[in-house]
Amino acid sequence: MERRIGSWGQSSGGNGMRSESREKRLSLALVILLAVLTIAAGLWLALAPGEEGEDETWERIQEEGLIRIAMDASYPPFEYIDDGGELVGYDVDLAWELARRFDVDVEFVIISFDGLYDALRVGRVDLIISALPFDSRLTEDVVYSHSYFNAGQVLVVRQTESGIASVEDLPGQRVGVEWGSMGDVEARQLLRRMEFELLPYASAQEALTALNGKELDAAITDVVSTYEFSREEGGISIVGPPVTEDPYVMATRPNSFVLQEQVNAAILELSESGFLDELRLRWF
Amino acid sequence: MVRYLLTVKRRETIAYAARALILVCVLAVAGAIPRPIIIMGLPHTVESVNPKMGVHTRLTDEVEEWKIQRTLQLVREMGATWIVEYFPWGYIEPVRKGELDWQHADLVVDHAVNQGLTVVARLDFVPEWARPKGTTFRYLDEEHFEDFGDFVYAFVDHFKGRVDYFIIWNEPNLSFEWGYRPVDPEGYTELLKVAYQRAKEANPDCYVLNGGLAPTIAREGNEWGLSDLVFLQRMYDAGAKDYFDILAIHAYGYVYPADDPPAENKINFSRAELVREVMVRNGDEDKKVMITEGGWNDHPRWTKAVRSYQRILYTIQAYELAAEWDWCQSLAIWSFRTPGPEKNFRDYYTLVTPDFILKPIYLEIQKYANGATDWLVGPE
Repeated sequence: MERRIGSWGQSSGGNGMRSESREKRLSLALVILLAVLTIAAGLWLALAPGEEGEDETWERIQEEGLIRIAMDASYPPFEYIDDGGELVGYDVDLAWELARRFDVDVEFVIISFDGLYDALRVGRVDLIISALPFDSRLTEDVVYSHSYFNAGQVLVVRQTESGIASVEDLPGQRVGVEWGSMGDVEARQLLRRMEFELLPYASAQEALTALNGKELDAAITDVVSTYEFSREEGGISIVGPPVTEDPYVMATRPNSFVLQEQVNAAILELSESGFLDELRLRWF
Repeated sequence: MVRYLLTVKRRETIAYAARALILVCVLAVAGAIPRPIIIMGLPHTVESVNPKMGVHTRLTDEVEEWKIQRTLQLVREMGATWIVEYFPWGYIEPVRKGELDWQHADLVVDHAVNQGLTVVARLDFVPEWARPKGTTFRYLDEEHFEDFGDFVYAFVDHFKGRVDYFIIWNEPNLSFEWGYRPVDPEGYTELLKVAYQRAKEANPDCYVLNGGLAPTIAREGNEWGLSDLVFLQRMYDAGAKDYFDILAIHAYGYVYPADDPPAENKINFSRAELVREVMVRNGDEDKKVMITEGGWNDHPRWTKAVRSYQRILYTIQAYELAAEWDWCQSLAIWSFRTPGPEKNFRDYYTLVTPDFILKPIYLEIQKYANGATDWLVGPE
C-alpha cells in the first residue's frame, strides 16, 4: 500500500495539487454519470407502459359486465340470508352500489369465511366484501381497500351523562360488559391500572338496558350492538375514541390494479357523500 | 510532498481503523443485548379432574421460544393434558425433497413434553415442489402421495419416543381442504393407506389417525363438501378400516348446547355420536375416537356463534360429556391461542389472546379442572 502511494505520487509527476484536481474532475464526472442514469431510469419508469392497462380482472369485469364478489353470508347485519331467502345486509347494499358505479352486474359467491381468500387467490371471485377485518399478515397475498367501517369495542354512556368522556374517566364508576366478551376482556385489562366496579351481563343489550336504567354509569360493548340498541331504544351515546380498533376492508388480488383504484375511489366518495352513514342507519 | 501524502495515508488508515473499531463495538453490544433465557426446567405433570381435556394449540407460526413455552405452560396450568398441534410438511421440507428442518418442530414438541402434555401431531400442507403451480397448499395429487409418505416416515421416526399420535391430513371432506377439487373419499383413503404404512414402518407402536372430519350436512354432489357421515362410510367402503388406529373428528357446537340431541341434518357437538354409530356399523367399535377440534365461538354477530357466557358453559359441558363417553379418548378445544390476531371471527374461538391475556373462559375452565363445582353460575 505504501508502495502504491509512492508510485501514484511519482506518476503524477510529483504535483499533488494537479492530482487532486484530476481526482475532483473524475468525481464530478462520476456524479454527472449517476445523475444521468438516475434521470434515465426515472424517464424509463415514467414512460413505460402503465400496469393499469394490464389488469385482466378489470378488463374481464368490463367485458362481461359482471363482478364476482365473495362473502360469507352469516354475519348479520353485514351479510345474511333473510327469512325470505334473500341475500341482504350492509355489505350487500355496498356491493350493489359499487357495481352501479362500475356499470356492471353482481354475482355474489357465497363461501364460508375460511375459503374466502383461497377463492380470491384461485380466481373464482374478483373481490371480497364480507365484514372482512384488515389482516397485516396477508398484505403480500392480497391488496386491501380503504376501511369502510370500524367494528371495535366502544365506551357507551347515557346521553345525559357529561362526566365520562373516555375510559380515563372510569375510576369509581359502575361499568357494565357482556360477560366473557372482548368488552369484558378490555375492562379487566383496565382494572389492572384503575379501580371501578365491573358488572357482567348476559348480553350487550342487557348491559345497555342497565345503563339506560341508571344501574350503570358506562358500558363497554361492540359498536354494532351499540348502534342497534341506539336505534331501537335510544338514550345512549358513544364517547371517546374506540376502545379497540377493528377496521373492515375489501380485498383484491395484487394484480388487480385498476379494480383496486376504482374500489378505493368509490369508498372515499361514498364516505364523503354520506352514503356509508345512510347504510349504517339502514342496517344498524 | 511524499511526506504529506504519507500523513494523509496515515490519517486514512486511522480513520479506517476507527470505523472498524466502532463496527466491532456495535456488533458486540448488539450481541450482548439481553435475550430471554429459556430454561426447560424439570418435567411437569398436568393436574386435572378430567384427563380427557385437551386443546388445539396454534404454535406453527410462533417464532419466539419463550412464547412457545409460555403457551404450553398455560395449557398445563389450565388443566388440559392433550394438545393437537399442526406441523406443516411445507415448513419442514420447504425447498426440496430430503432437506428437512426440524428446529421449530423440536422446540414445540420438547416444551410440550416438558410440560407433561401429550402431543397429537397433524401432518399436511403440501410444499410448492410437490404440487403444480397455481394450486393451494392443500392440493396433493396421487403422483406425490409417496413423497408425503416419505415425509410421514421421516416425521414419525424423528419424534419416536416424544410423539405417538399422528393425524393424516385435515378435513378431507371439504373441497378447499382437498385443494379445491371435488371431495374424494376413495382418493383420500389411498393417501391414508400410504401414510399409515410409512408411519408404522418408522414406529410400529404409533397411533395413526385419519384427517379429522369436518361436521357438515353437505350432500353427494355438493361443490364444497360432503357429509362427514357419508364420507366416513365411503372411506370404510374403500378399505380404510385397517389404515387408522383412532378416528379423528371435529365437533363444533355452533348455536346448540353440548347435550343437544344429534340429528343427521344438524350440526352440533353431539353429532360425534352419529359418527361413532358409523364406526359401530362397520365393525370398528373397538377403536376410540379423538375429537381433535371442537368448541363454540362467541363472535358478537356471527350466526353460528353463541353469547360469551354460553360458550363458557357449553365448553365445560362438552368436557364433561367427553369424560362420560367411554369411546372418546380426548377432546381438543379449538383453539387455545394464536401467535397473532386472526382479525376475524376465529379470534372468538380462542381461550387466551395473542398477548397472553387470559379470557374469562380460560379462567372458568381452569376452575373446573381444579375441581370447582360452581362453574355453572352465569352472570348475575
